[in-house]
Amino acid sequence: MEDLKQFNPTRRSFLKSTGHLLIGFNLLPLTFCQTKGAPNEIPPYAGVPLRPSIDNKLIDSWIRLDAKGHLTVLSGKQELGQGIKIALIQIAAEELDINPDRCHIINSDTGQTANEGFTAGSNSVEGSGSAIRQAAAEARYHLLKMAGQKLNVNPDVLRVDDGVIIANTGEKVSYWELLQGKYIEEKISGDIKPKKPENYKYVGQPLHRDDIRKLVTGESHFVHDLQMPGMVHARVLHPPSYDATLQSIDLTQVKALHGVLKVIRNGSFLAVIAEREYQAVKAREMLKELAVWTKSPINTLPDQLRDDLLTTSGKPEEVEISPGIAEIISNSAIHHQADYFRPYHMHASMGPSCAVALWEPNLLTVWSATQGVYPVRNSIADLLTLDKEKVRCIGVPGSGCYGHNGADDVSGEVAIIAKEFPGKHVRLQWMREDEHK
Amino acid sequence: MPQDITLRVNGKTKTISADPEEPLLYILRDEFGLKGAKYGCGLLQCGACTVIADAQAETTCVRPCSSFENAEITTLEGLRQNGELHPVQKAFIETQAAQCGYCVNGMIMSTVALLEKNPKPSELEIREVLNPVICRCGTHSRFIKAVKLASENTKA
Repeated sequence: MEDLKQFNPTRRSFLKSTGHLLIGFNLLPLTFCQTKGAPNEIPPYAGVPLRPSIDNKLIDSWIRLDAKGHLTVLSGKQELGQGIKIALIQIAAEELDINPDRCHIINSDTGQTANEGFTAGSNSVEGSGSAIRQAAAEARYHLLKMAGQKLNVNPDVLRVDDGVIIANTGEKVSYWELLQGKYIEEKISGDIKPKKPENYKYVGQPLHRDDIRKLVTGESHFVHDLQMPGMVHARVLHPPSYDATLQSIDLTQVKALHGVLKVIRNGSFLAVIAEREYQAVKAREMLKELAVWTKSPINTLPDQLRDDLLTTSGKPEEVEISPGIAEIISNSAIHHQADYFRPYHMHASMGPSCAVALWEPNLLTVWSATQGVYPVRNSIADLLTLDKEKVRCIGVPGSGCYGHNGADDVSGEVAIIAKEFPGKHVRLQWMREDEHK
Repeated sequence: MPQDITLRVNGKTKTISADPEEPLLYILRDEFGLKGAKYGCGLLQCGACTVIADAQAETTCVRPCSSFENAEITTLEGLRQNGELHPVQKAFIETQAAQCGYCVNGMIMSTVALLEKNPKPSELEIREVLNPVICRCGTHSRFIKAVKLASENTKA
């Protein structure tokens, strides 16, 4: 948020200062850009404008240098608390020999970053990290070539210190002076060798995560924290059990509640939009009392759970059989027989699932804690019969991520709700019971 | 129906119009724009929404805002003094005590309340105070390290 405050130019001055071609530029994505602590000598970070298209074969789809002394890393991987932001910044900073304090990162945004599928399986450094490393190494190669031409020396004699290219003659030119905010239009060839690990300066160092500073001071970090101008609040009422359909509901009373802006009923989908969050909570409580469903809630008592699991969990499987194991067991001196039972476990997150959406005439934007912005973007486009290009999904950290959670579901639901309330940012947060029941 | 509620938060007094039953947390986040306290369980069981009210660590996701009138409320954002971070905040940064970080508000506010009363707590006392604050990532050992560091940097 700090960055946004510092950055408040007119469109014209922005165009002038960045030297980029702007196409459909939206300032909001900057909110999700991390600044890795900005010392005084580094000018305010203005973010990067959207590129007309995202091509993961281009250097600029992964790293972007501006005219003022900043490096922006673009990664399709989402920050889940694993610290991927700083890890990827370190990798790019290393290859380009730029102080990490000058580096920023934009994570998982279908409007800005390459499609890197899901952030899962502990492979973000391996996947996104190697792509960024290669892009950064090739950017360095091209920049040194440009500097060699400018300074009239062989690129091999050049070294780099915090983005400043220095010749053996002592002559200097910085990355930012060379590029003046222009894109490095080169394709990633794969032929340029990255730095040798023995020369690493930043990779392998325990650099601080800047998002921890934000968390510790109460700055906006989570999708739950997003505060958009004129934002309204929604709650959804889920059916009480699988396959339950809404039989009837009288919405008159709910619509009359203080602060309620709209009640949405679409088949069995029920939601309410209110000016304030608590008004939406109260309205949802009333919806719950009034709704008549075809099926009653599932009430599995704890002592029924074991039998329920035995009857519904399918056939047992043999995972591995060692040859002759039956004989070894029957010949063993001590025999022990027991049943072991593990009840259902939930990949529960600390906070309830949350997402924000804005429906505009030509674009639906969804801010989501999803592990995969592109897959959820595609699902939302399917759900609402929209072209994929008309949906932009921006990844924002959620309240922890431990396996499948409600992040994608709430993103789909908020999109449905936003469609019914165009032009306003709609924030949907689930209730605790939506997570568990 | 809404009525005027006057609250004193981080040294500033503000009157807002709200349902007196509305839990304080929504007011802090939406009316005061203070996003430090989080909605976690909504059932007084996780501590994510903790603030300090009259020197006590208090959860805010259930307790009505009207019951906080006349209380001196401090949120995570209000810990900074003269532009400088609170020793507990510094210690959490120094030890990098967070994974997803959703519980960090509860951990910090509980620690601040603890150190106010007991600047040199034993490890057991630290554990007892942090025990009600749930962390799903399993960052507890870092939190304990952070609290110990903050205690070392706090004058007894």
